[in-house]
Amino acid sequence: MLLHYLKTSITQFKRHFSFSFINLFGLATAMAVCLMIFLYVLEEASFDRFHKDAQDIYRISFHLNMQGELMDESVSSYAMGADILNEFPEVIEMTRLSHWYEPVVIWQEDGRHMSVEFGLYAESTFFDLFAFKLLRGNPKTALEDPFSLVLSESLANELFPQSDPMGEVLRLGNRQEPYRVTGIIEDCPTNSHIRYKLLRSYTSLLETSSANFYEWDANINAMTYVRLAPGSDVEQLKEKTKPLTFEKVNYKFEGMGVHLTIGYFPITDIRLRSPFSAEMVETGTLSKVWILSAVALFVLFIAGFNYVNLTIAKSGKRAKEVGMRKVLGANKRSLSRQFYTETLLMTGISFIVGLLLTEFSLPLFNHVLGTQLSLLDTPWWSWIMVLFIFVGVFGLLAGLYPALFMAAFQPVKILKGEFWTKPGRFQPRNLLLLIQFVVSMALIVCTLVVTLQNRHLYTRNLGFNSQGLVVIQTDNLDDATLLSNTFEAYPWVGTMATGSSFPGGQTYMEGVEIQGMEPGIMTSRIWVDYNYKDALGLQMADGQWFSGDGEFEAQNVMVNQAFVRKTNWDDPIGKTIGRGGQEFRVAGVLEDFNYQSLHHEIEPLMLNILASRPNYIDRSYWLVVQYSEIVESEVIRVLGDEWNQLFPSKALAYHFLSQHLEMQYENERSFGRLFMGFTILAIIIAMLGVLGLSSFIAQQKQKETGIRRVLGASVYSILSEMSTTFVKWVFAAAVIALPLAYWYMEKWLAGFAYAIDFPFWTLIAALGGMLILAMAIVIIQSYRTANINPVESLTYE
Amino acid sequence: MIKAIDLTKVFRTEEVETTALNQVTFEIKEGEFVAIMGPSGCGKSTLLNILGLLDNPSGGEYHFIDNEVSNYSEKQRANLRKRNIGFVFQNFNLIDELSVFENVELPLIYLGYSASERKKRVEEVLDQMQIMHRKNHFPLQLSGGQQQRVAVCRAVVAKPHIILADEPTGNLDSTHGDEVMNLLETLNKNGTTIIMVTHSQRDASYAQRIIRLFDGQIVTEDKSTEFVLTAAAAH
Repeated sequence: MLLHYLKTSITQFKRHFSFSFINLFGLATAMAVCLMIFLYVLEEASFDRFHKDAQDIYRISFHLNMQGELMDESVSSYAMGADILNEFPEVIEMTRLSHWYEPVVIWQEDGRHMSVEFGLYAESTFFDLFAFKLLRGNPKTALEDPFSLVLSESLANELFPQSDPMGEVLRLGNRQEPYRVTGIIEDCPTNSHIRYKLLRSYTSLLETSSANFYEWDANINAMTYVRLAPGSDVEQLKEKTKPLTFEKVNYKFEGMGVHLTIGYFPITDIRLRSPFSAEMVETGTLSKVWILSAVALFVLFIAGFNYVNLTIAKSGKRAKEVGMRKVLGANKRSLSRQFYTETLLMTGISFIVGLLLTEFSLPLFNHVLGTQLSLLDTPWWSWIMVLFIFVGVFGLLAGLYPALFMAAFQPVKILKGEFWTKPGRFQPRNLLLLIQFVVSMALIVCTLVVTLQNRHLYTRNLGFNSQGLVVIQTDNLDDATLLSNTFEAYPWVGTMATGSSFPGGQTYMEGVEIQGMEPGIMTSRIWVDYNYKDALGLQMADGQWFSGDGEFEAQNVMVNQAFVRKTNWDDPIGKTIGRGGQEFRVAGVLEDFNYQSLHHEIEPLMLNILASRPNYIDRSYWLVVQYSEIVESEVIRVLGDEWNQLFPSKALAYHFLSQHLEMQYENERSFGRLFMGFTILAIIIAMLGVLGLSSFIAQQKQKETGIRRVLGASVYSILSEMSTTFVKWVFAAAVIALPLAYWYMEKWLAGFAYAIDFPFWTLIAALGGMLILAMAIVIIQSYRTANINPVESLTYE
Repeated sequence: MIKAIDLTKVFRTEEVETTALNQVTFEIKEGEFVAIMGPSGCGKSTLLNILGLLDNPSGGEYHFIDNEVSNYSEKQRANLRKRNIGFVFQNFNLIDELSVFENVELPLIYLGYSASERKKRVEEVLDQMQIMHRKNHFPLQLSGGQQQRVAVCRAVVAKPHIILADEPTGNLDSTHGDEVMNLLETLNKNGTTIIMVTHSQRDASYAQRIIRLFDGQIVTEDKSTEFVLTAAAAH
């Protein structure tokens, strides 16, 4: 019997090839989309779970409350880890990492150098806590001694293609400190929130830095991980940490409205749920996972609806077959089985085609999302699950309705030619069509709004000039001056300025005292020279900019409007700000500019003149160079040549400011592109459904059309008659889809610091777009039928 | 074998009630060849659908091989039908997607025959009907006469007790029509009961008895066509 079902299914597939192709294409595409999203979700969910007893590993988090203003940090002070390990018996292991967020320069013997991202400092307990495999060297000692270096396997191969790296010495950083290679570690897994290319022993940092490593409120840049004894109560540990936090640090802040809380964040939650700043990789991806999962479900549903719709539409053609089978003794069950077999065969083939499509599309998907997903790396159980869901559940669900529908045909009616449902009676396929239109329209609105919001982020006036600027990192002020003097000779160079940071660069928050405000406020601070305002095109809102670069400006400070708002000053000019025993006078107020990415609201900022900075000559700076009427490649060439002449033993680090700023939104941009890609696919699949359905309706109406034509109807009147059905459903869908999309996107936009107003025209565009698409398809389909010679259509019946 | 007592079939729509069969009573014995005749709309096909267990009557009794089946469910009817009745239709009703062999094989599949048994029986009957050489063809590749021969093969392959033929020659020219009628006659001679609805006097002449319907009622039951014609005209 099964063989017969299979044979019939294959014959059906071949006989109705165009119909089968629409179904196959729709299902296979949907499966490919789902499979890719499934791989993505699987990867996201697997983050940091490969460590032994990963559920017992936590990262210490740092929550500072300053008069209601909250700072949640992934880093804590170096001192905390050891104290917590010593104090609480349930904390059985601890290790610390430090990441400096800037590439590490590696110098080779011949003077060549390369920049490497993710150069971490790590402790010797790194390999106790984490499951990262040390391929060469001793895990107990590899990171013990100062100036020990563990290279990732690929980096080791790159640096020492011919020789053994173990024991070799490499010079790191602009200070060219010598590090000895003591180990080779496997390349960092892609599903780890910790990223490394090389690990330096933490003891090297302790030896070379004069920072305070012993206070809880100093040197806050260590990611501290602890392993708790199995079954430990984290909430209880948090409570127990409070008195220790008071003893170590909070007692200093008493009565000032400042309070530090220590938290323990599960490492398995970091990727999806981390609210913390300063992570090594993108985190907080849970919303992406949800959105993409919803898209996957939508696509699968649309494809499923298509299958059901087209199968039922086609059932008219198969009515005779079903009727005859019943006359010959088939019962409902055997017929249902036959149709299930057809559905399973179709979904099975679609699954295979979907796999191939996935394999071909994964490189693009990976490129857009920055992932390294691969079908082959997927665990075996997930294959069984996917197969079960796609072919089993989905196949049966999509097959259920058509199977029951067709199996319920009454042979007498079919043999009498009374198969088609009487007009006016509710037809479930219309409901399915309605849902497809609803989903498609809602997706169109969402895609348009997401695209507009993203574009708003890139093109928003940031309050400064970002075009035609290159920023170059220098080791000290002398280097910056030397470089700017050299550049002055080039006619295409405009204003040049020096600062401790630049818009989009790293800034640090500092606490400042404000008269009449306890305990003051937190503000970012940048040291700048006189030209900084003009080079970046900053605007004054009040007061005067610095009058020169001399130390006579040391007492003056510029603040931004956000600073003024925070302090509630009516007249800011002349007000004083205290910091580290010094007092500064506000000489000018700058209009707000986005010195951080648009993910953050503009926060208070103060600008001091360079010369007022302690040891200002020896600190590193960014040189901002305006250029015009020259291509970027020429700027790079000149910069490289001049740099190599001036500083042959130093590595060059620079950004074009506009590109650097764009990079900040790369995640949103690629996600937006992906979302749009999937939406377009979903709409194509939905429209394929409309195509199939309209073609069957056209066939079904062939006789009616013939009669109408005989009675004098024009082609135009027949086309309008045929398209009315679809237009009706598009409008009905709009009533559901548009308010729903509006409600959801309003909520989504509310999550942005800088959001567009909801663009109402997108609703009209979605409705219009859907109408045009659906009408075009229906009219093209119906045109043939309407043009058939009525004699032919009537004999067909 | 078949006994109908006051068999009635009424079709109801929201506005109209149509009596297709009005208290029809007759009996057909095993091995008979009976023709049912009458003008269009007289209830012939309705009667055939009820006799073929494709539909239930609205009233009266229908005894089919000693079972009173007028209130049987679709499932019960299907069960009885597939074991006892073979059908031949005016428009052949072959399944276009299946080959000749597969079409003929179909009743045996639903009766649960093994693949080897099916092959044996199908080939036997195709051979008998001299259509074996076309067994891998699809219905649309055959002439009308050949298609109806395949339909007859399908009707007899499960060795049913009764064959119901609804205008079996209606779509055929006279040569092919005679061919089919000869087939039915042979089957009848071999013991199969045949009930045939027809418009054709020529086809009816193959039958041993003719039941004539008019407006849902039996007007005569006779072998003599001339007498019947007169009676119908008088009516």
